[in-house]
Amino acid sequence: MHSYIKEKISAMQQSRLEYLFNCYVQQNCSEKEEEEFMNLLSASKNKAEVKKLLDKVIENSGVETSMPDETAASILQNILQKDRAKVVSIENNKPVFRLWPRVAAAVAILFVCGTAYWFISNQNSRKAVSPIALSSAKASSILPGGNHAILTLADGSKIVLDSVQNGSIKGGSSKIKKQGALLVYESTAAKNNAPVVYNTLTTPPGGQYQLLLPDGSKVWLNASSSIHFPTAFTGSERNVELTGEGYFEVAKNKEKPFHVNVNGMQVEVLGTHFNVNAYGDEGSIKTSLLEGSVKIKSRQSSGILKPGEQGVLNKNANKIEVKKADMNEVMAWKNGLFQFDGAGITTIMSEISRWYNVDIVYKGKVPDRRFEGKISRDAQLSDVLKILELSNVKFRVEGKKIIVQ
Amino acid sequence: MISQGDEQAFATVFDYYRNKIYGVALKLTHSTTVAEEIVEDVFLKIWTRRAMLNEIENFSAYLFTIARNETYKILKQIAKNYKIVLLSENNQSLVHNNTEDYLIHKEITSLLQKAIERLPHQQKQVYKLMKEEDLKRGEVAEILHLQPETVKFHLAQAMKNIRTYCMLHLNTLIGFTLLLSALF
Repeated sequence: MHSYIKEKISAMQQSRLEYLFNCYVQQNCSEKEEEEFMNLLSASKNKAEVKKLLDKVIENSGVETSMPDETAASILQNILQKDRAKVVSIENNKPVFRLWPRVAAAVAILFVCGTAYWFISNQNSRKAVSPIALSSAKASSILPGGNHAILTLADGSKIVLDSVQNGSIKGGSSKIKKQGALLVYESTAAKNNAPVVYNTLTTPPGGQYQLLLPDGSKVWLNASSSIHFPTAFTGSERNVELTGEGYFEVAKNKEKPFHVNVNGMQVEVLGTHFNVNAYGDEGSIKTSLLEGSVKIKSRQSSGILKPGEQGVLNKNANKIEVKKADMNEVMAWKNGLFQFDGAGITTIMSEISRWYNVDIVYKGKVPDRRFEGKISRDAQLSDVLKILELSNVKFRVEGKKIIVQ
Repeated sequence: MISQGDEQAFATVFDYYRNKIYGVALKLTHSTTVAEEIVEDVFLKIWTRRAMLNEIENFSAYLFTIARNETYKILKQIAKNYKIVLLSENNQSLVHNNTEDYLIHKEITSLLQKAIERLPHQQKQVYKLMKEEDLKRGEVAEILHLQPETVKFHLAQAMKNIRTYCMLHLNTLIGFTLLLSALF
């Protein structure tokens, strides 16, 4: 039989996908065929068939091509190094001076690409990327937040930490040290008769700070937040009070449970990593667990979280609801990002308001749209607004006021 | 031995299988840069999960399954963004209106730079001379002592590499459109 006909017949016995796959691999598709193949490829229902085809390629491949030895050596080096870095961060259980330990792959890509991205969650991508006139926002370079905080000592005196040099801070009987954006309380020899003294660390809008408590627990404080804590944990419990948002890496101590009290709710932990978001404007308290286990209690309700879960206490319902949550999104602030997966404009704007210390005013109907994407928290406000404008939300900036139109 | 963390043993296995995986990845992505990434992803998985190797009876089957899944993941990512590429090619005007926009400009430059840095040596030379220095194919051939046909081939490979690399790593619709229109 003529080979052309043979091919035709076998092509007819193949599925369309297999035919396109083969022409893609052999690089002899027409443009139309390639597009069709890409369409089929991105459909999840074809997963099994594509995987079967891939298996066939692997089975039938010898070693016709080889990569340069130098490239191979550097790949091998990369692998061993990446893995070493990972092992160190897992074994190093003391959360002490490890900054930003878990930067998600997505964040890494973001760094690679160097700047902020935004994409619209609009399925109809043709519409989404149609030419949009950029009415460049006149947010005359309002700068992002940074490491700002105020420490209030037991006697009520306030220390603005931005203006303090690194090193020891005089704070009554406790030993306090400032190390960049981290405030360290050293554990002093337990004097049981000494009265318990409380300090408060407060971040203004546009501020963030880190705190190392005397038991070795570490707290990351987001903007417009505060933590009220004893300078030594002397009793049988460790109690702190939080407003706003904080991420906790609690040092293990089974004898002394750690309690975070938030606006009538309590999170009880033994040693674990979790985030509490209790910004008043969001109408609920969200506790998200990364590692370990925590129990959350309100007056009427309680719940236990497993890693990857979020407990939401709605202030009105006063009921705790436990659900799965995207920890990358929850932890984005700590990793230097705004990240939204289907958030409404009000959620986005209140986060912007806290970080850039601006007021938000809505003129007319609030646009009912959902957004997804990531932006670096290092971006200037004008850049962030520009990205949002690309998604067809219009702004006007008047001094420190942003008007959403 | 690998399961106990023996790097030497791992290196031996890596050298034994790397070209096969690379060949498969190259066949499926037509990009050396992305094929290298697949090789790295596959072996990184093997190495980080080495504790599991004790329970694996057929190592090569295990390796090939991982390779197949990684390749699938990457192909799907490329496919997802393929439409956007086509779109951008039909939508040239978008670029010229907005190229001055600072933010987008910054984004394009840094991703392109990253993609160019990862090109194999000769492709990089050819690409830089032709695209950045604006030299003619003949001139580049002379400078590099290559046949003009070879220069053409290297440039095509470089463009393919950059394009696929960007498809894989850039996640924004807007960024994509602009980047790719800037390329073509």
